Amino acid sequence: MRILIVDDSSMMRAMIKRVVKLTKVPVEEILEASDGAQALTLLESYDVQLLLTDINMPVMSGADLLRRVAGNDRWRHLTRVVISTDGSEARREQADELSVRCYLQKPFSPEVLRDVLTDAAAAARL
Amino acid sequence: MSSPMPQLPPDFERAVGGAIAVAVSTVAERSFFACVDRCDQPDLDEIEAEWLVATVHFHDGPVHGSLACLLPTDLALWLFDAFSGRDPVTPMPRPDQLDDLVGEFANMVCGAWLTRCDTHRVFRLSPPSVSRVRRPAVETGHREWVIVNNRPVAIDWEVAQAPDYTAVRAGL
Repeated sequence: MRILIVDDSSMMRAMIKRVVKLTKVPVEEILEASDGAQALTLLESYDVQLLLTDINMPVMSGADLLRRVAGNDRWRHLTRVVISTDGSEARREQADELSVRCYLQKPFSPEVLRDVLTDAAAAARL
Repeated sequence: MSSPMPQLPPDFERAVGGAIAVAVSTVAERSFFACVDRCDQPDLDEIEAEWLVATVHFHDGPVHGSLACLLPTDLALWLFDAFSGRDPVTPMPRPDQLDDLVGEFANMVCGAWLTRCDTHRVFRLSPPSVSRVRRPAVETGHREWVIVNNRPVAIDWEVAQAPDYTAVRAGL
């Protein structure tokens, strides 16, 4: 499985990568992007099964990225997870409308992230 | 932080202070495995380390403002190790990595606070900006002190909005 992590914080991307490696999820490759625009470029070039994205990012937000993904049939089967500081009900509803499988609010413990990743990875492999 | 906000009623300031302290506790304990206590005014003379200042601006339509976390470098290094799982035998983090870490800390504190304030609104956060100072500037606006792992952390905040609206959004 190929995973794409989108977050403008390199520390957060490294932390997510570390937790991914602690799971038993078989990962072929982990790609990284620091904003939605970079993520779109990678999605165009690689066959990605699981997308983990922040919301508040420069250049292109996670919300805009998810809208672009939802609007393209090519990415219909892409499993989407949001990892954001914004835990508002309004933002979660927005994410639901964009077929986000799981919404994880920062801060979170590594154990919670591990469980989310395991669940999302299982869905991505279906 | 720039100008004080004298138009805010004292009850609102107290409520925001409490809500911010809760947000710092949530972030520090959940993602950094650190202990947090409230504190009035710590003795800064015993801090020899440089301070890092991470500022995030927020905007959710009717309300906008900023939140800055000020913390000594030695605490930032401890938080870095806790967050990244850095092995002590590996090289020390570069300054840009430490900046990223404290920026993310401020980002999470601001997000946790705003989510607590009003769960029915979406908000936008600016990318954090990080600077270094010899010691925190004299307080000119709103400041909360907390103790994280026995080290002082200041949170400076500003909210620009009519008091009758912000009073219901203090987060408590």
